[in-house]
Amino acid sequence: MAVSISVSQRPVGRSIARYFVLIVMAGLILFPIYITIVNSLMEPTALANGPVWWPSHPTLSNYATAWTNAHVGRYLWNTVIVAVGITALQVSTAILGGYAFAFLNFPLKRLMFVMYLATLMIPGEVTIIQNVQTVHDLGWYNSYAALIVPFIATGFGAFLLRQSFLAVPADLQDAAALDGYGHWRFLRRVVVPICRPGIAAMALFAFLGAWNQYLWPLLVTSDDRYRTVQIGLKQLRTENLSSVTVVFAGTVLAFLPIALLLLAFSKQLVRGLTAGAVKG
Amino acid sequence: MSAVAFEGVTKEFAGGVRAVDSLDLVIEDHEFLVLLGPSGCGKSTALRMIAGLDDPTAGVVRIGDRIVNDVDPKDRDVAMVFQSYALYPHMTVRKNIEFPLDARKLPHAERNTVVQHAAEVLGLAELLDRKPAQLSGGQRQRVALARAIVRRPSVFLMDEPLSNLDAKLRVQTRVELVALQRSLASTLIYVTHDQVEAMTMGHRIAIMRDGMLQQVGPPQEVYDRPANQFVAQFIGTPPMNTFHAVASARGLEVADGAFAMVDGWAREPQDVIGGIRPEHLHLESLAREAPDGGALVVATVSMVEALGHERHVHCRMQNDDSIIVRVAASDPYPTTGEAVALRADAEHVHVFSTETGQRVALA
Ligand SMILES: Nc1ncnc2c1ncn2[C@@H]1O[C@H](COP(=O)(O)OP(=O)(O)OP(=O)(O)O)[C@@H](O)[C@H]1O
Ligand SMILES: [Mg+2]
Repeated sequence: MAVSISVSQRPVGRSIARYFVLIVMAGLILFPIYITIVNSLMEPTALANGPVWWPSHPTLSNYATAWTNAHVGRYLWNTVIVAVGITALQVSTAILGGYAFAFLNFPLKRLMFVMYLATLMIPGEVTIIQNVQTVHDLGWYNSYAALIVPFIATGFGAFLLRQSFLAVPADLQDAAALDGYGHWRFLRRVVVPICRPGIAAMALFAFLGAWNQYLWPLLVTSDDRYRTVQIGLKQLRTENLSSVTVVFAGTVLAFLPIALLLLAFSKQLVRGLTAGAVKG
Repeated sequence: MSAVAFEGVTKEFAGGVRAVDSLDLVIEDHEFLVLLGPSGCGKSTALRMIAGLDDPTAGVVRIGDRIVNDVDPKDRDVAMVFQSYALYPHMTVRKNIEFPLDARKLPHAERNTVVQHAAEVLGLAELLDRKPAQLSGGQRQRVALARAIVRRPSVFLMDEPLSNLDAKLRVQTRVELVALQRSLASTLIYVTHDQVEAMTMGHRIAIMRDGMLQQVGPPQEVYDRPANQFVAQFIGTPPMNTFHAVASARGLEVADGAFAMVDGWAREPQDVIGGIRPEHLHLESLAREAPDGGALVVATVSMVEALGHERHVHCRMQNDDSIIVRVAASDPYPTTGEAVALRADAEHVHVFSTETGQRVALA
């Protein structure tokens, strides 16, 4: 009752203002994406007088050029391998780490947890030179290993999943122990299924982070066979100054997979971000 | 072969909390024992030590003839029903009930019959495909029971399983549980802080306070002969009246009169705590002479509570101790402010030591 009254009595003007702000903000965010898509559909020569607002004679030729001549296909493939690899490994280690912090008692647990958290506060740039050196020493320069291995465990992932796992009632662990389930099977049969939304959100974050990496792949690869799409785009821009439409097409190709992923999982992402904030 | 024994068991948590203190207690095979006590007295901790979910700091826990201190929970042959029910929220009722069998690698066909049987016994057959969130409190509680019985453990542990149910359902489930225990013929240790459950369900009650065992015995015996003042007041509604008195040859002397005792008091007069249950007190007319000259106590009525089937007459004695008298609903009763004479059934007068609160043996 109370709800319906407050809705019907809410001033219409405030509602309009609210929507107006939201629409403006959405427009600001979507505008560059729109311009990119429109211009990626133009003949290279059509942009002589700057970018256009509407595709008058749309063509997909830029996409073909970007895919084959500019190796965007190859770059995308590399990025998929790297992002999927990093995500799979990061989720596995985060589940194990999160489980240990949430359900096990071991010496120095608090100290170790603080150390995990501390890694969140160190900017990646601080350690990057040493890490590049290590990769060189291991002979991993220009390899998938160099792109994936340094990211298989993060303090953030373990922290995020620990929070998610803490919501599993302690009684369930006790019940499972009595029912004959050890840690591994309790993890697999109870914790992971219950915490699926949290794990999915963590996986999505890991994937986005891996997909959008720039500095690290730039430092540890020089070979087109291993370069990822973000670097490929940069390269495209410097090498194809004459045909900026190809760059636009490459950009669209690079963000398309991630945009689809976000659309598919947006519900889980938001739920993961707010999980634990409210009960129920 | 599934008696359970605590031998000098102490559990101390980090920070020095003694949840259970030197507990000695034997629960017989096939016995229904109720563990009773106020919140925080260590009931759950005692139960968890039987299950192996907490390790004793000192002492020995036995199940059957095995010392189980170092035995894994899953190898102890015990099942537990948790206060929260601890159902797996992502599994259907069927999966929940089946879960313990799954771990034990029972063949599929056999598993189905066992689950079906348990579901029928507990009236869950219609609900097998629901998730716990789609069940009422009483149904969840029955799923938790079903999950415990499918394993046919030799010892059942239940930690306040009825506390989340409403009063009516609780009465019904109480009866069902007693019948269930009888048909399963296993040892059942049942934790509660509800004294009605304690009185009605178990073969024996064990009463704990601050980690220490106060008394063990059949419900009626604990009610009739409480070992100390704590037990006397913990069991019974309304609780036993206790008051300062002097025990002497006249009986229990209070400021204005005395309550008779069966054999009197053969020793020197002594300060004690007297105890009389409300149903063992009677209102007499002030005018009447006490039969044995003085075994009446004068008091003033401060309040009368009508409960429908009976009335509780709250009186204040001259020494300011208050005392409750139970009066049948059909009997006449006084009004507030009226002066009354109280008489106690001499055979039901309890005496506790002022210093220790322990029961003082009469005669
Ligand atoms: N894990 C723990 N760490 C520290 N202290 C604990 C722990 N578990 C229980 N305690 C303490 O031990 C004492 C007994 O707790 P326990 O849970 O056994 O009480 P209880 O009798 O079951 O109470 P309730 O009726 O409220 O469930 C309490 O003082 C409690 O605070
Ligand atoms: Mg408890």
